[in-house]
Amino acid sequence: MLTDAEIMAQVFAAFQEEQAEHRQAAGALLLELERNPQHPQRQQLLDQLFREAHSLKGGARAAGQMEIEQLAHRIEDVFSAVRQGQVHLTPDVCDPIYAALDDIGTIIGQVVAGQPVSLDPYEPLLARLSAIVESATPAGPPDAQRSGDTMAAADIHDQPAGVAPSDRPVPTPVLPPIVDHAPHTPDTNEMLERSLSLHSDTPASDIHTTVRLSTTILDNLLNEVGELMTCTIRARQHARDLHALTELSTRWRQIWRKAQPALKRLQSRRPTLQPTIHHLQQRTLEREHQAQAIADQNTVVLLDTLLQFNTLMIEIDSRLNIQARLSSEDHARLAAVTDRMHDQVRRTRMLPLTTLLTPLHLQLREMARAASKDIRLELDDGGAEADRQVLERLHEVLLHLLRNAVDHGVEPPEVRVACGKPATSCIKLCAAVSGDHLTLRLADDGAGLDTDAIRHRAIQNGLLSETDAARMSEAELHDLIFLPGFSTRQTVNKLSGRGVGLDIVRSQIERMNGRIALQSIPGIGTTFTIHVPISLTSSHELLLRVGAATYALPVEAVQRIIQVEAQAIQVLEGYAALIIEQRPMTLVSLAELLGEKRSSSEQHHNAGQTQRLALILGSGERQIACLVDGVLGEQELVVHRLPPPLQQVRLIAGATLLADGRVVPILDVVDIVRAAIGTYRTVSLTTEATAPERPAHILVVDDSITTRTLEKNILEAAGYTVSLATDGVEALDILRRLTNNGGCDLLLSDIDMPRMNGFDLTMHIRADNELRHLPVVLVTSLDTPADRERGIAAGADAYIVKRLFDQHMFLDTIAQLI
Amino acid sequence: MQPLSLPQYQHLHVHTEHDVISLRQAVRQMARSVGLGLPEQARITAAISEIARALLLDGGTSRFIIQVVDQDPRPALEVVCVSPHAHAHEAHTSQNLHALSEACALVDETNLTTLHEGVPLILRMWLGHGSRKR
Amino acid sequence: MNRHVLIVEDSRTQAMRLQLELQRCGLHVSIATTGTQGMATAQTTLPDVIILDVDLPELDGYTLCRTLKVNPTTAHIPIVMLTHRDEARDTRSGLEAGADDYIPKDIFAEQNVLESLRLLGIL
Repeated sequence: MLTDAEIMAQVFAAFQEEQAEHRQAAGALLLELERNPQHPQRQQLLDQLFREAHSLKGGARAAGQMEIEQLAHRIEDVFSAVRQGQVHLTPDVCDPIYAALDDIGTIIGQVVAGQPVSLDPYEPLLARLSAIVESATPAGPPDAQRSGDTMAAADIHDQPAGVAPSDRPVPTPVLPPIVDHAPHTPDTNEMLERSLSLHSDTPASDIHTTVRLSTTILDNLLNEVGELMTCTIRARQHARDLHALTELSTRWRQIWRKAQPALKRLQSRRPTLQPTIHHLQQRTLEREHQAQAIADQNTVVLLDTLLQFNTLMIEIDSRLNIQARLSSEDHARLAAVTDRMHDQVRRTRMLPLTTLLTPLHLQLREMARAASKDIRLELDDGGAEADRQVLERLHEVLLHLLRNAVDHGVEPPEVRVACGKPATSCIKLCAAVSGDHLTLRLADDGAGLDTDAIRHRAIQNGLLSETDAARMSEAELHDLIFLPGFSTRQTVNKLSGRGVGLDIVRSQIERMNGRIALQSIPGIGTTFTIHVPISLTSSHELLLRVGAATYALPVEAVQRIIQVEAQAIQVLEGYAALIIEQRPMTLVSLAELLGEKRSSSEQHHNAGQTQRLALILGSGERQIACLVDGVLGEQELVVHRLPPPLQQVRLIAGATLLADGRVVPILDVVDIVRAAIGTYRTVSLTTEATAPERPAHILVVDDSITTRTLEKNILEAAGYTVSLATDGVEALDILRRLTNNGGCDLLLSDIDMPRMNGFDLTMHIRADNELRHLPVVLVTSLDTPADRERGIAAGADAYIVKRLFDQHMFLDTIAQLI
Repeated sequence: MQPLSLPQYQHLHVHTEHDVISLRQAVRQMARSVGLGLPEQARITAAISEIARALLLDGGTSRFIIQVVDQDPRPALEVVCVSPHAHAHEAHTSQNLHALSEACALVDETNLTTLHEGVPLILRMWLGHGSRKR
Repeated sequence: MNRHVLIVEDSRTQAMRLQLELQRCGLHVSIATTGTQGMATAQTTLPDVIILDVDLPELDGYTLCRTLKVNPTTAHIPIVMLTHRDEARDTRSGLEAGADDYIPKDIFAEQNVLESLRLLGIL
């Protein structure tokens, strides 16, 4: 029997899903109506809009989410007023609604995370929404019909202010028989049929053709199928082993055949038993005969045994053949079923790309408004589908790229017009699936990349020498913007802060075994092209021997495999390096990186070798060569994500099961490249920049001990040293102390803190002569554009929202700033 | 769930939308406990709810007293609306008059038409109504 | 044998909340998400009581109620109307359409439904 808590938990889970749908639908409808005020189906859309808010309100109530219910109620009131023609959908009206819809999402996140919820931060918004309704002008135009509302429409008149109600008759106190107020429907059955026929597109049989399923079930199914695939591989091995056994009996047959002549001879020499003759002289003869007889007896026994053995072998052989054949058939069937099942399960996890792309309209609108630019988004999803995990990861990537296009690609309207371009910029996003890869193209018609500025910046930052820069092609220069720390530092921008963040984008994509490239034509625009596999669940893995252990690496991450001569290894700036195609490349030993000890026999072996195998990993300017002890082969393997509590393990991205049941870790190529390069810059033959002797030091400020500890652990695991502070005042103290003791390299701070909050702390730091250049990252649960702007205005370099917390992105952002 | 042993007299203030809902529930429960049938419960509840909300929209707060009265010719569940500014009197001129009429039309007995200053609005639902299906 | 309740409600969350509460009391519950489905299910399964959301998207709940009450197979089934519309005239319309009870969707909604079902002898 369920307890109240259990009931509410289930109901909440249902609400969590339902609210997302209603919010999404409401946002889309509102956007459509806002953009197209003369929409031919305006009234229907408004009705639908009202319904979405209404359902949101009802669901919130049933789920006991009173804060959300309140927000939804206000939104509903606004929509009701719009529906009646009392309010128009101007940006002033729509903005708070979008904000409220977003806030509902935030609150849901808080509830899911078990955080306390309060409406206090939303009071101003609630007031604004109420004000919209209160200032509404009474219904004017006749198209403001209250459709679908009540039946007694004929009876109700919205009383304009000032009409004297004194004429209205007052009904008698004792109630007469009930009068029917409903407008007359001639025949209720007919009306029912009419409305049924209008809306019954779904015949009764269609009712049960779809089901709702929790994604955990799908993930589990996928895991099980993965195990099944491993079993299939073992079954195949088994069948092969059995088959190999049958070869043993073939060998026996050969041996037996070769022995036949000798056997026959032995058999024919079998002595006939002679009668014993009692002669004295013959006693010795007898003894000889006896000895001979005994010897012959032994031979007979042996012969018999051999014959029996052969018979047995024939029997074994025949049965073994049958078993081998059955095993083979079983494996074939298992493999076929498993493949089909794997395919089906993969498909269940597939979502159409539209689920990823459609919300981008709204997000782009916000970005464009904040940047005061006029931008249109065109989407073509090409009917593509991809695994939901892939879509989730692509979402962040696309947001980043869009932000980048809005900030840097697209020119302000005046500039565009002056160049002869239309004032409204167009960003096109197209997708296409080919085989098991997805290609996404994001193109803007903006200013394109400024090659000279890039070259100049690269030289300035010490990433390239003048000569290097001169010889680089335009495409190679463009590729530089993916480097960490390559940013337009001059313009502290409202949206992007100080970094362009494209390094994060590339890391994310490479983590997905994908590629990103860009093309840019000055004055015309920039196009980013992304290739990713549509499914992250299985991939071709290269099996490597590292020290005494086995590791796996996605084949797509490996650019080349080369033989390295011992003499070819050079030492540059304290790092081992190889010269490949006239460019230096960092060389590391995977065994050292992973901390794998070699057995003494291995070391001896290696010492004697003049040639070692190395893998080239990474792309563009960030490539490294990795020494390995052996390549064991390539296999299609099922990728398992690391289960909690193992989610973040240095250098490891996941795990897979081999046919023999061994668990093999899958290496995270991005982490490896980073670890190898060490200080996040390219290896260059000429520049100075010395590597810091000590690990970077980060100050973490947060008034919650849980958050502080969590962040500290993550950072220390990534190799940083960490100090802690509970609020802004303490943080400033510690910073001042630290500057005398080696200094602090980055500040990571919460916003909501006693005594001094994160915004003020940032401003203090920027105002202080010594601390001015300290990179500041704000980490917070507040996620409104206003807060982000405030953070950037205060001088923060980056702004991470707790709700969207992803450890990889967290570390990538920090790495980029240090 | 056992029916609560409700007092035979309840006095509630209405300042906010929340209070309207609480009042409504109190009326419902009272109506249930004195044995009114479902439709009658629904009626008196809706009537009081409408009145309370109308008065709230009008800008005022109100007080309600819910009690059972042994009236002639029959006992009834009675709800009295008392408001400090004699809103009941102003009901004649309020824009919510229509709503009040609708509300009062739902119940068995009301003094809406004979209201004047100082007299509270009273609604009554006779007990012993209809059958309770068991 | 357990009594059977049919809930006609298009919001999954609200339907689930009621369903769980009713199931906890030992009732067998089915859910229809549209008026059409509701009508069909009522006719084929003849539940002991129908809980009807008046705000269904494509079909006017009052009309559905009336239809059920007029149809001889389903006329005897008590109907409890559940709705956000809590003005006096809506209550009247509901009761006139044949509803046995009319309950507004506020925080007491589920509790009131249970109480009504008790009075109807279902619980």
